[in-house]
This record gives sequence, C-alpha cells and structure tokens, in this order.
Amino acid sequence: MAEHRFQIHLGGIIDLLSNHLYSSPSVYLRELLQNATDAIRARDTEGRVTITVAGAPRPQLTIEDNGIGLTEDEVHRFLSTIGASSKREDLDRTDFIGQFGIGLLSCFVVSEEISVLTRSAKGGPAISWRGRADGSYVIEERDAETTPIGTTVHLIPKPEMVEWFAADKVRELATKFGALLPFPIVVNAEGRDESINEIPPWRRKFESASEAREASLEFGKRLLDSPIEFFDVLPLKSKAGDVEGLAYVLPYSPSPTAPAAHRVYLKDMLLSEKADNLLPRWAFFVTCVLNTNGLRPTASRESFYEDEALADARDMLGVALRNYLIDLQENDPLRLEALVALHYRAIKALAAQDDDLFALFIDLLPFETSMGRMKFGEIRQRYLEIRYAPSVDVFRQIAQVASAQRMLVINAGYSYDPDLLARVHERFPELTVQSVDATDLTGALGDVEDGEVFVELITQATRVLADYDCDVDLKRFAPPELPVLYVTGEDATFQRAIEVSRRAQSEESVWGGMLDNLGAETKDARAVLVFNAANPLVGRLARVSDDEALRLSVQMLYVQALLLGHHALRPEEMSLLNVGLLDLIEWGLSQSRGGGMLQ
Amino acid sequence: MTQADVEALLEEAEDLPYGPPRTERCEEAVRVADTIHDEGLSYDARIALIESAVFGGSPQKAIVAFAWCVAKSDADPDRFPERGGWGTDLLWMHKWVAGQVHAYPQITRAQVTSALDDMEQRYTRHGLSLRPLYQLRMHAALEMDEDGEVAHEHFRKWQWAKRDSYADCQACETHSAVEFYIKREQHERAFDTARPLLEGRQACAEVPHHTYAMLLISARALGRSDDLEHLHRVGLPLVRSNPDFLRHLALHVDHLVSTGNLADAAPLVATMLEWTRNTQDFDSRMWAYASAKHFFSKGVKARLPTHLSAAEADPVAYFDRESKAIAARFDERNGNALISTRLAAHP
Repeated sequence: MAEHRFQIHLGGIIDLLSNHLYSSPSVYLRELLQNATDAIRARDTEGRVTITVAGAPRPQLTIEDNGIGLTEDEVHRFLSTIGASSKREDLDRTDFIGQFGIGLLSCFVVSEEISVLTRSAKGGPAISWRGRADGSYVIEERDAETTPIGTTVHLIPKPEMVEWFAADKVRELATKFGALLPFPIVVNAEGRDESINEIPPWRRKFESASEAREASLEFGKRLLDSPIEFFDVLPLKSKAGDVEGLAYVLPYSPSPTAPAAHRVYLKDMLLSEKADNLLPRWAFFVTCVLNTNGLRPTASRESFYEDEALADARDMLGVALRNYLIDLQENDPLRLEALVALHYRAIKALAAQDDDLFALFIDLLPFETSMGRMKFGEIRQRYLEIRYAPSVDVFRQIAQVASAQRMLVINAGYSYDPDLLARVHERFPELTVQSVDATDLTGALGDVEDGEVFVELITQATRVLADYDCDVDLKRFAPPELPVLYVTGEDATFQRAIEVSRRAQSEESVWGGMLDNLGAETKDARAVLVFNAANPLVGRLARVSDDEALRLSVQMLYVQALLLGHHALRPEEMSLLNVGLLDLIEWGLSQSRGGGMLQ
Repeated sequence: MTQADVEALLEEAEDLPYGPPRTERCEEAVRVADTIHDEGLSYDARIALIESAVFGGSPQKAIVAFAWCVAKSDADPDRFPERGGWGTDLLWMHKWVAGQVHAYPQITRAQVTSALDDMEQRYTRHGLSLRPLYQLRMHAALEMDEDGEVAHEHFRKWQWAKRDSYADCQACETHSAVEFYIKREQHERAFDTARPLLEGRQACAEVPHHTYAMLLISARALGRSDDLEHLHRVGLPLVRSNPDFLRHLALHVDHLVSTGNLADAAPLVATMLEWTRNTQDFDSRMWAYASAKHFFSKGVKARLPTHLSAAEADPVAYFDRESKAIAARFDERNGNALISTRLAAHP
C-alpha cells in the first residue's frame, strides 16, 4: 500500500488567507518585519533592516536584512511548511523556518510575485526563489561571493493593492509595527533614507523624574493617538512574562462596559492595539503601552494564553497599579483626590474586592445620600448609624422624608456600592451599617399621639385602597408639606410587574401559568400609603364627614403618589385618574355652590 | 415623564456593568414607558431589561418581561417581529429565558417542558436548527432527572444538530459540554473539553467565568491541587463583582474553606450573602447557603446582613436547614431526590 500526500493548491490557500484570515492587507509588512527580526535574532548580530520603495506608478517593495539567511535545504523546508498553518501563533515558536514561510505567504495577499534572495550564515551558495500567487515557483543557485549574508525579499504588487505600497503608507506601517525594535529600520523612499526607530521611555535613562514623566506622557499621547492629555503616567514592570511599559491614567471616566484596549508589543514588535487580558479587570481607568518577551499570544492576537505566566504577570501589573495609588496617597494627596473624583467608579470596583485598597480609599469615595453628596470619610465622622437604600427606587421613595428628619440614607443603587457598604462594619466596628427598605424607614417615623382624630380617615382609606392591594399607615413626619408617602418594596414592585405581564397573556400562552407561580412567592407583598399627620390637608381630611369626598380625596392622593414614584398604573388605577378626577371636580363644583367643605 | 426619560434611563443602563443597578434602570424605564402608554417604548425597555436581568442575576425579571414581549409579538407580529434585529431578537432571548426557568422550584416540570416546547415550535416555524433547544433540554435534564441517560440523549442530539446563527457561541457551547461532564462526574473529560476555554482561545460574556468555578468541582474530585489553585486564582476575579455569578462565587468560597483559607473566604462570604438578598434564583441561593454553612461550620464568627438576621443565633443550623428546605422544594417539583442527593454530597 503506497502512502500518498495531499497536494495543496497554493492559489486556493492564498485566496482563503487573503479573504478570511487576515484582518487587513497591512499585515504583509508586519510579517516581513517579523521575518527580518527573527532572522537577525537568530544570527545574534548587530541587525539592520532596510525597506526600499521604488517605481511609479506601480511601486515595488524590497526589504533587506542582515539576519541568519536560509540554506537551500531550508528554502525547501519553508515551502513544505506553507499550509501547515496559516498563523504564526498556531505554530511551534521555535520553528523559525516554518514561521518564515507563513510570513512570506501572507505577502501574497498584496503581491502577485515575490522573490527572495538569501544566503545563510551557515554557509553554502546563495539561493534565489521566485514564486507567484498561482503557486508556481523557481529556485536557482546564485554566487555566494556577491550576495551578503541575510535575506532580501522583493514584492511586486497586485494592481488593486498598489495603495499598500505607497511610500507614505509603507513608512506609516513600518513605524506602527516596528518603531520600537532595538536595531535600525530604515525606509528608503522618494530618494531619502528615514530611520523610523524610537527608543521607548522604559528603555531610556532620564536626568530627572519630571523629564521621564514628560517624555512618557508625550510618547503615550502620540502612540495612542489621544486628543487630550493623559491625567498621569506610571511605569509598569513584571518579571513574570518579562513585561515592561507604561500605564496612562485616562483623563475621562471610561465606561466600565467598554472592552479594555491596551497597546501591546511582543518582543518589540506591535502585536495588538487592543489587547484585553493582560491587566486585571478593574484596571479600566488606565490604558497601557507594554512590551512582553515572555507571554504567548492567541491566534486572535488580542489576548494571551491564560497560563501561569499570564496570571503572574497580571498580578504583578496589578500590584504596580495599586502601589501607584498607595504612593499617591502618601506623596501627592491632591492628585489622588483628583484621580478619585475622576475614576471613583473603577476605584469602587477595586476597593469592593481588595481589603487594602478598601482601607485606603473608602474615606475618599463619594456617595449620594439623603443629605447630599458626601465622601465616606465625611459620612462616618458625622454619623454613627449609616443606613443605605439598596436601590435607587427605594432611595427615591424615602430620600425626601429622610432628609427632612436629618436622617442619613445612602443611595446604594450604583454599581459596587452595596458590596462596599456591606464591608464597612468589618473595618469600622463602631459604625452600624444597615440596608433599609422603605418600610423599615417609615417604621422609624414618629407615631401619632392623637391617633383617635384620624380613625375615620384611616378606616375609610384602608377600605378604599384595599381594592388596589395597598395598606394604610399613619405617622407624623417632616416635611409637613408632604400629605402621603407611598412606599413599596422589591417584592411588591415585582408583583406589579408580574400582573402587567400576566394581563398581556392570551388564553393559550404557555407563560401565564408560570407567571402565576412566580408571583405566588411574593403575593403577600403590599405597598403602603403612609398618611402624614403633620400635613394640614391630612388634618382637614380627618374632619371631613362626607364619605364621597373622603373616598375621592384618598384615591387622588394615592394615584398622585404612584405617579410621583414612577409606578406604572394598573387599568383600575388609570380609570381612577380618568373618572376619579372628573368626579372630584364635579363634587368640588357642587360644593362651591353649597359652601365648600374642603376650604 | 416622557419618552426622553425612558431613553435616558436605557442609555444610562447600557453604560453600567451587569448587576442590580443596571437592571433597576431598565425596570424603571419599563415602568415609565408603561405609564406614558407608549407600547413601542415599553417593548424596547423590556427587551433591554431581559438582557440586563439575565446577565445581572435577576432571571425572574427577565422571565416576566419576556412573557410580556412574546405576548405583544404574537398579537402584532408586524409591529413587534419575533425575529428582530441584533439585540432585539425574541427567538434568541427565548434561549436565555427557557434556560433559566428550571432554577425556580415554584415553576412546575410541565411548565419547564412547555417553555422548551414553545421554543421548539417557534424555531421550527422559522426553519432554524434545534441545536440550542437540545442543549437547553440537556441542561434542564441535568437539573431535573435522576436518570443521567435523559441528559445524555439530549447531549447527543445537540452535538449532532446543525449549527446555525441561533446556536450559542463556541465558548458557550464548549462550556455547556464541560458542565455536562462535570454533572455526570466525568471529570477528566470535563478538563479535556475545557481546554480552549482555559487557554483563552474561546471566551464570551459569561465564559470562562462559569468554567473556572465549575471545574473546581472536578479538580477536587481528581485531587489536582495545582489546578485548584490556578482555577481559583484566575477564576475568582471574573465572578467577584456581579450577583449573576452567585452560584460560582459560592464554589470559590467552597474551595477556600476546604483548603482552610478562612481569612480569604470571609470577605467573599460577606459579598455572597449580600447577593442572596434579592435573588430569587433558588438554585444559586441553595448553593450559597450550603457554602455559608460550610464556612460557619469551621467556627468562624461573622456579621450577617440584615435580611439574614434570623441566622445570627446559629448560622450553621440556619443555613443547613434553609438549603435543605430549598433542595426539598426542588425534589418535590422534580419528583425525585436528585437535588437533595447532590446537596448532601456538598463538602
């Protein structure tokens, strides 16, 4: 039985590559630079790369390196590797020859013809290889004497890809991918040589910290193409993964839902402009420029393999960020305060899961409270008893009343607030911190001593509002302008949502029964309308003897309270608005003729 | 209150990470939209609520909103098409919702089945592959059927069915398979299957967050202590800040308590119990209580949140009793002893 091999059709592979795998034709220059860089590193020499663009209107590109070069045998090998994989990241990293082949293959995305002239440092003749996008190629020996050690690749563009060979474009791409490489990269175009290299700040020595800071800020603004100045910059370094670079503190508060995007170099070549998993998740207040020599990218080039090295590196970078914040606290508290004002959302996220940072930052973090916006430090100096509403909805129900009683309630309806507040007691045992709902709070309001005056009103109101699943209570509280307070809990609100959805269901709906069962858990949850005995209108209502007037008034107070609290009206409540209001007007008119009891 | 208020609330929500604050903004948007009687707006707000609630730890709110949207869509399919655009597609959301209902013991077996059958009819009507349906049936069977073959049968159908644009993403599908193997106690296979997730080659909003936590079970079963450490270290930050991951946070607590690291477990327990305040997802609540019992059984003292003040006197007894009570409700619904048996095996 003979063994055969698949014949791979190169033309087909190239088509696949160019149309599906590479995000942009610009990768051709990245791949060429990567090949040159790998060759130089393999030879361990003073490297140099020259990229020449020449010819019009169809410019051709030549890239020359003085790296290790290829022997004839290796040229055959790289050809056989083509198709083994389409991406460097999928291939054994030590397979230099295979990597070279893949790099070259990507050039067919933009070229119809590629020629390679190479001479190996290991000896042997120079080799010329010329391949076409249809998969045909020729190999010839050349005189070793006249060919320097290294590799020269020459590309002839496809007619529709000429724009990728324009001098400006080539310079731009070479700069983007290779500016940080530690050996000269020269672009020769339009008759002039231009070195595109730049030494990143973390590899430079500076006279002073302020000089380093300024250079780093300038570097970041330019590299990250930021229209505004960064708030601050700090160096990052991790032994794990051999990572080094700079973190820029953003001058605005980014959305925590926006994906992280850091500019990451792998061995000094740009890997990605939006790498996402190299920093801890809470680090969304910085954007970084980093180089790593020891981490392994995934094929997408936008993240790294989740291995021990990455976990260690992420921890170390996280430590560097924490230390920066701690250091600010000690040395530049004003800057820290400004930073917290800008990035308190990120810092809340961080402090909610880190004991040390919690201790460090909790006093600086702002909270919305019934007594206005306050930093926690202020709060704990002024109040020993801290109550918080676990949601904006609960807070809104009680804020006005709480503030009138000069009672502190924090609005913990923002991300991370409940997590932070749940941990306050651990740190400050002298404080009592508790989550309250609206009914807890109304329970703490003043009882009414002359309750008998209101018996008739409360009895009537209870009867009227029973139709709307609402209980009635009587308290005396500030502000006196407020006649009633409508309070409802999470369960009662959920129950209302279920009812609305239930009513929309048709007979045959499979969801109706499920909604009934879901609602069974919370069916006893009821809202409460609390009458304020301190309110003059309530006082007058207590003396109204006309049942009809009392009924209409209670209904209107109820509907108004619902509307003020942004509660959706049920149909029967809607009709209160429509019919009840008219009834009330009619009743008022009839009374004005007779003397007006509500006056 | 106007249309602009609703839109502002929805915009604000979109800018928040998943969790109760985001869900609350959407709920309020729904209420305001309902109040001003703008049905189109009510629909949009509920669509936003479904996503936020499913990924923010309040699936019951998603069920309620979804039921409303489906009713509107069925009544007026031209105005509210079932197969909407990106982010408004009820057929896609049906997967989210139908995959959650079994976590509520008050929902009967027949109702769980009918939610899935309803999905089957709708997918069939639209000519879609039933691949995601089989996947969900598998998960429901893993939670309701003692006979593992039932889940296995759905597993096979799932794997064989064609992938189309309504299939879960690769990461979620891989995770589903991992979860199948974990619950079937094929822990080696679970690890093998999870490789693309653990290496970071596949990822999405909830995966590998779930995977790291769930694999703690397998690593413990296989006695792989190195893996345990890595899974905990990489996995914990992923689930630390969203109550949606209550069940998974509980797994990390179990790990810390089992390895005697009570100091690190304490703040996690505080967060975990805080999260039980508003969850109605009984499955997650049960596992959180079980982990709390595990923690307190080591003789630790810790302050309890107000909604658990009843546990103050004897937390071990309280959490033991409450978790078993939930398991009993599941057993009664399921008609077997699957969940209490599983709970009894908890460390």
